[in-house]
Amino acid sequence: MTGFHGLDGPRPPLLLRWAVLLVAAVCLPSTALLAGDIENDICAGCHEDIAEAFSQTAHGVYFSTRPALADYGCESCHGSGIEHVENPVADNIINPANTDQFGSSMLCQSCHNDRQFDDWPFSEHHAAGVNCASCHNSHSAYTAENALTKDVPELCYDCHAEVRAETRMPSHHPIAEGKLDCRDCHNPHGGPARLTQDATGRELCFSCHANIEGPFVYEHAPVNEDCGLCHKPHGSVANNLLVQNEPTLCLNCHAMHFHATVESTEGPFEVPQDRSRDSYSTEDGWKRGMLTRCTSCHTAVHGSDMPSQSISTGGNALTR
Amino acid sequence: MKTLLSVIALALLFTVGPSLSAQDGDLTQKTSLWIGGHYTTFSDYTKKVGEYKIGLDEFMPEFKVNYLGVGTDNIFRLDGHFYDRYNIDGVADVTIADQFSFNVQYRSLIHQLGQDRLEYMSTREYFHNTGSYGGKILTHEVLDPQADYNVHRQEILSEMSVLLSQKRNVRFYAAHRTILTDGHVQSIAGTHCFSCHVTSRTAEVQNNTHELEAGLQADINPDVTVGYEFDYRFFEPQAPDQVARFDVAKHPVHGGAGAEFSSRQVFDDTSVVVNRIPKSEKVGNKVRVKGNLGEKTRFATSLGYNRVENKYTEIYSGTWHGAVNLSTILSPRSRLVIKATGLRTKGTDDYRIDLPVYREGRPGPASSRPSFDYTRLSTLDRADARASAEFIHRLNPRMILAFLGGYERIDRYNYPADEDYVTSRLIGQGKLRYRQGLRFSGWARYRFEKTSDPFVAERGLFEARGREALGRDLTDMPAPWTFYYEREALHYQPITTSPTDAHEVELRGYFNPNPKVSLNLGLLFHYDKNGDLDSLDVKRTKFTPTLGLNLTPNPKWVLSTGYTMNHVTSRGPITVALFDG
Repeated sequence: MTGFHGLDGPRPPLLLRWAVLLVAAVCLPSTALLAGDIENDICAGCHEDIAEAFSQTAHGVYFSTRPALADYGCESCHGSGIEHVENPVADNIINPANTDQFGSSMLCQSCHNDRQFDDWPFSEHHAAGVNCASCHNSHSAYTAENALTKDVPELCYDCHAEVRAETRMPSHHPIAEGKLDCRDCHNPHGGPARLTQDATGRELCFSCHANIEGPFVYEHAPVNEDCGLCHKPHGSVANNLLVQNEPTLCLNCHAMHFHATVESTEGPFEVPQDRSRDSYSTEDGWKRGMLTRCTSCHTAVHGSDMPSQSISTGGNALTR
Repeated sequence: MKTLLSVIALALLFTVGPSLSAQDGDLTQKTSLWIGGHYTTFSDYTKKVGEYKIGLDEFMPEFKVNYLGVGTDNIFRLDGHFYDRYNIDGVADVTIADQFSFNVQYRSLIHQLGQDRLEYMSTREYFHNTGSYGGKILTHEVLDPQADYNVHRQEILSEMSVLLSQKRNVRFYAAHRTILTDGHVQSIAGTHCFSCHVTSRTAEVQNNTHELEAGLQADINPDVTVGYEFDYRFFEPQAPDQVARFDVAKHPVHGGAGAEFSSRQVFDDTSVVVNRIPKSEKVGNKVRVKGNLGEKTRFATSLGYNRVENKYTEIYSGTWHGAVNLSTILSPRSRLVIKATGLRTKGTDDYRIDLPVYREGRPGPASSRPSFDYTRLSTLDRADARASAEFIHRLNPRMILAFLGGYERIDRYNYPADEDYVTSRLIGQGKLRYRQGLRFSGWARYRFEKTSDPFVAERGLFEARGREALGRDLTDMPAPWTFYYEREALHYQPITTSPTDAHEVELRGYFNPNPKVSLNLGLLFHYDKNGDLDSLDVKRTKFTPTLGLNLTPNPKWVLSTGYTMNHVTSRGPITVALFDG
């Protein structure tokens, strides 16, 4: 019987207990979970290795150095151990690692109640059944920062493996180089990322790339729509994190440059037949020139305050 | 492309003291110092390959230091890593009496951009059927071929939090971030001859971003917490503006300045600024309310307004944004999570574009010198609403079934492609999660997205065949001239290759036969297409199998390895042929 976190079905009184716990957490944020029924030494009698390791963890050191927290013990997280002592089987003691949305994430939040966890009940991780112990290990002294089981991003890759592949692509944010990690853009506990206030991906990108936010006189519509239309933030085979290389990406929305056209309204584009002049003027000549990298000329592709000389676009060719 | 031939990295020459631990009264300290080095060399490679690495072709010392001190009232941590002078990271944080915390972080990197030799920009047309040169010519010129382009980025982030009142959980928090980028980039600048002659030069980059965020939160009663946040960001480029000389517009061969060059007169014989990045200022305010509604429901809401202003042109965009999140317990076996966000952005949409008069000073009747001034409509003017509800139900102690339904809608006002252009999206997702204790867990997920009228570029994509009316009134134009810009309205129409139907299936399993071994297997398949363009067979697929293995022989050692393949195919038409000028 696990009861406390409802693994064996509906247990309304216990859910009520969670609600009380939650209210207590809000009202008494620094108040500890109450001391339990069993002394820690009794637990250590069977779980010696865990007790030894725990004493060296952040929790262990923290509890041991604060007289006010001297009563914190195994039962603070694992619930009453009376039944477990009498019958030491796994299913009569709370194991926070073995819970889900219906379990004990709130247990940790009773102490860890900073604003960074406000959005946890609404987060994607919570909805997916991820719990605190999925990423954090409170028993091992050999953990990464914040008691994570592994360093970020390797920890995140355990579930988001496709992202690992993307960060190894030729163009990528410097995640593999250790200069960024997932938490620079994502909040694993839900809510907005650091230093962003609204819910748009644009604002997230602009928090570091403020030079392309503008707003500009001459706009590029997809920049105002969604950075993801042109960029893959984790990595891409195309240069500059583009979802496709130029000019293909640009040609998804824009017409071919007229001199690269293979047909015209007046008939096929005729090319010289003299192949000896293959350095210039081959049949692919203009296509090579005009269909290679649009941003060679349209340099201000994110927007500009200065009109381009091309009047046909109303000055909005983004060439300077 | 000749690419990287070798990368040699030597490290861990020696390690001094894996860690030094000391217990001095109530103070527990851990210190470690790592001294090593690396040697990196590249041969015949493009800078892009080693985008964030520099090949100095010499031995470089490298240091790491870590310190942790835990006392009865405080915790102090210091981590530092010196890789080379462009790559230095450090973090220090202190917590005092569980009431005050301060964190400061420094990190730097170098981004190598490489140089584009512009070699593809060399071509020339022939006269039809004559075999001789003629028509357009395109050349390039790299003005600084020896330049080594890179940008050094430094970031300093500091955060602090103070618990002002424990009883009411009154907390003040603040953060400040500075981002400094400096270096040189290749600037490809076009003069009015740029259709034919492209030049590249070196441009200095020196951008500074400063951002300050501060907030206050408090419990107004046991069930409700309120908070307020203020955000200020200032971005300023400090490098001098680039200036390019626009020569007298004339034919590069015979020197004529006929009508065919008249459209080049806008910047005739003058110097103008190119590639200028605007200063910008952002101010944001946000209020938050979170708490409990009864014993079964938690909520979190926010409402805020951001305003970003271009300090050069004084145009702005302002965004109201709000969010409502609810999580409620429907029954001991069921939960419902509802999320909704909304944005209303409005930019300066009455900005008047004042362009030089076309062909002013050139031969021809006055009627051939039309004004091109117009009022610019901003594509920022929009509303974005998104809502979802997810029902999570426990079938039995091992299985959880979840269904998500979502709706998103973007209203674009005054959009050039359509005055009131609306994109809506329906989202559905089903997920079954299975957990067998700690030994096995896994899930299967299916998700679809149905989009109507997905994003389309303002200027359209394809020829509008059969359209009879031109976009402009040509009655004043000198017959028989028909210019490119006049034909666009005739030949373009808004079509997009963005997907209208997307499907995604994910299967994942985690096996933990014992506490020392963890194996995970996954498969992700994504398929999307544009159902409006079925005849063009627009579609994309993504196939990603994954394998991960973690071995933990003892608590001090973890071996992680994994394999992920990302296979992406994309099929879609690009623009069809238009006209040859």
